Amino acid sequence: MLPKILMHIFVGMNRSLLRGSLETIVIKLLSDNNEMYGYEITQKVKEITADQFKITEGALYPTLHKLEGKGVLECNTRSIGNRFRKYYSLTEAGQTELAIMLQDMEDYIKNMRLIINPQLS
Amino acid sequence: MKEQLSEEEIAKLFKFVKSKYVHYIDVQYEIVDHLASAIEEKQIDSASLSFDRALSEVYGKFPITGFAVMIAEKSSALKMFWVKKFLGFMLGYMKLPKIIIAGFLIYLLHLILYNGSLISPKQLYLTLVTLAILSAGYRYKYGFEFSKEFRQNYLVTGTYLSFYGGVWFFYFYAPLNFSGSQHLDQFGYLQSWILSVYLTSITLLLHAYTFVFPKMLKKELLEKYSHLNIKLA
Repeated sequence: MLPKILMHIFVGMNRSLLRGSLETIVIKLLSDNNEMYGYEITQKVKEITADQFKITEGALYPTLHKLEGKGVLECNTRSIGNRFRKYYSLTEAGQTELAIMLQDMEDYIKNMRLIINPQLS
Repeated sequence: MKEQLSEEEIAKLFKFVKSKYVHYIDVQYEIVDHLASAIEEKQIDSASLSFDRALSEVYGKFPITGFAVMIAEKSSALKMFWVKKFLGFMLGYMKLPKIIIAGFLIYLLHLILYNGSLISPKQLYLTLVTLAILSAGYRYKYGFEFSKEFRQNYLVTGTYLSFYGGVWFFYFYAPLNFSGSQHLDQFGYLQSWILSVYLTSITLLLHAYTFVFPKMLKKELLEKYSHLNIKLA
């Protein structure tokens, strides 16, 4: 029973950490890959992190739509065989946002390291 | 090379998405592509996996609320998009060269309200109401905002109409407010300036609501939603 609870807490923490970083992940991937579609983003994250990070659809699409609304992303829809696919790419504002987000993330990681391992500082 | 789902399977996915209360056609397209991509991937990993089983596994990854959160977020993102366009239009009149037009209109209205130059304030009020009625008539004939189809079937047009529908209220509110508080004969110096700014904003909105915003929507539909073949007048 106890390990299950611990596991749950651990998975929960992991998810909330991931959710907090989702915008940065999406923007960085789009910057590296020019344009991507929703499912491709989930797969790319799994591939890069060797299955450690799994972005759920329920978290990804709201994030994509939020960023689109902010003007960070733009999209276009193209036919792929018997269906249509929506591709997302960064706008100019998105490129600026990326630089800020990456700097914020690096500062955050640096500070977290200081807190977790104070002897290393 | 990945195997694509058949036409029938895609049709099945649309039916499935509709059964999960996704009524907006533009959202259905987005979800169907996601489900189809995930199912194709699963079937590549396990060739014996049936379509129905794969669909149930893929849908299982969505939250218990199904697609509801996704629709809500998309809806607020689209609303934010239209608000930004609206603000962009209004702010445009605070910069050169458009600020000259706005300034001229404000000055002209001030002359009318304060001195009764050119026409009387009462005639001005009647002109504004007439313009608002003409705009409504024009949009009723050539527009699309009274169409139930655009309000209910597509999230992109639905959010446009719900946002700009709110703006419509101010066309009549301003002149009504204007007529209710005065005898429409004379206004004080400061009062006439304030009313001039207010009425200029309303006039610019009237123009935008009739001609500019519908064009903006048409452009948006052409660039991003051409696959939906939404026909606006």
